[in-house]
Amino acid sequence: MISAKTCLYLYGPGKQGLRSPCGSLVFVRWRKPRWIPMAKSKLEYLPVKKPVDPWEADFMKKQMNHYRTTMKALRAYFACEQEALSATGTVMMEKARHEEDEFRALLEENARHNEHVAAMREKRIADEQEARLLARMRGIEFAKQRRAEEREHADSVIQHYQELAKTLVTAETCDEAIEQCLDDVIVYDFAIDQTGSVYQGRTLEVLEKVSSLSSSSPEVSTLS
Amino acid sequence: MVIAIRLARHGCTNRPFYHLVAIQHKRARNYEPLEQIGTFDPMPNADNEKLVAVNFERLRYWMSQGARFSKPAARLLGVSGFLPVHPYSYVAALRNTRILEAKTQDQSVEASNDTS
Repeated sequence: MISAKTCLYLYGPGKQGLRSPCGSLVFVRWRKPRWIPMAKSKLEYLPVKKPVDPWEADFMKKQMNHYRTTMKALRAYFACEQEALSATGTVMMEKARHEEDEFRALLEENARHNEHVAAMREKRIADEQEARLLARMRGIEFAKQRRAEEREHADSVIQHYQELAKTLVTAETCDEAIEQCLDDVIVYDFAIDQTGSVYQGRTLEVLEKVSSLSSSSPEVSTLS
Repeated sequence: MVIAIRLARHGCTNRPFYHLVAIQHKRARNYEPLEQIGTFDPMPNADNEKLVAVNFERLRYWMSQGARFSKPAARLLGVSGFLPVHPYSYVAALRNTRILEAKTQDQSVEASNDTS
């Protein structure tokens, strides 16, 4: 047999601090387990039964039998009714028709939506095609223009160099050019002040001297 | 699984309000029912009426499925006239009349005492 003390420690939340000073059982919230024996104070206890009115008991017994039978009959009747309903099925047929109508309506709605979407898609595709064509045309135009500009530029360059080429020194004009160079002597031996007046150096004088000498003496001229 | 038709207490403290529900009989009182069939407001309103609303069509259906009534639900629907009156209703009525009679007798005795 489990002692009261053990029970106290085994059962009930918050095991410590619940023991009463006299060491009796304290169960908080939970019922006494089955194997705990009857309390000493209750050993002599006889539960008092509630007085039953004999008329009431008799009445209830008879009437409840009758009531139960009626209820069973009702349940059976309603079951039959339900079965008939589901078989001949005004309700079921109605429901089925309703569902079918709904389904058809949904189909139509779906088709309409599909058409709408298809129209939108076609329009979009056409627009895209047109845009692509336009872009292509613009590209071609641009390329043409650019090519024309490049050609123009090239022509102008060629013209420029052709102009320049007229003054080039060739084998035939070589002697002439040399002559011309010798004739046009440019002397850079001079200085300029802030007012712009030119002060010649002595190179020019020297050159003139040299030229005069060369013209007077034939030996020098042959050397040059 | 047995289907029960019973009252589920909604409302709050000191203000009961019941749903009449079809529910699997082992479910908790306020568990989500298979179907709510009606409502019952046990507190008398301004016109001293206790209002009950029941969907009898669905009640028939659930009865055809073999639903069992709880005693309070059976009594309520018996009084409504849909089901046969529950025998306990008669017993309760008898008890109430007895109590009432006793009260009136007491009052009359007291009144006679006062006058004498």
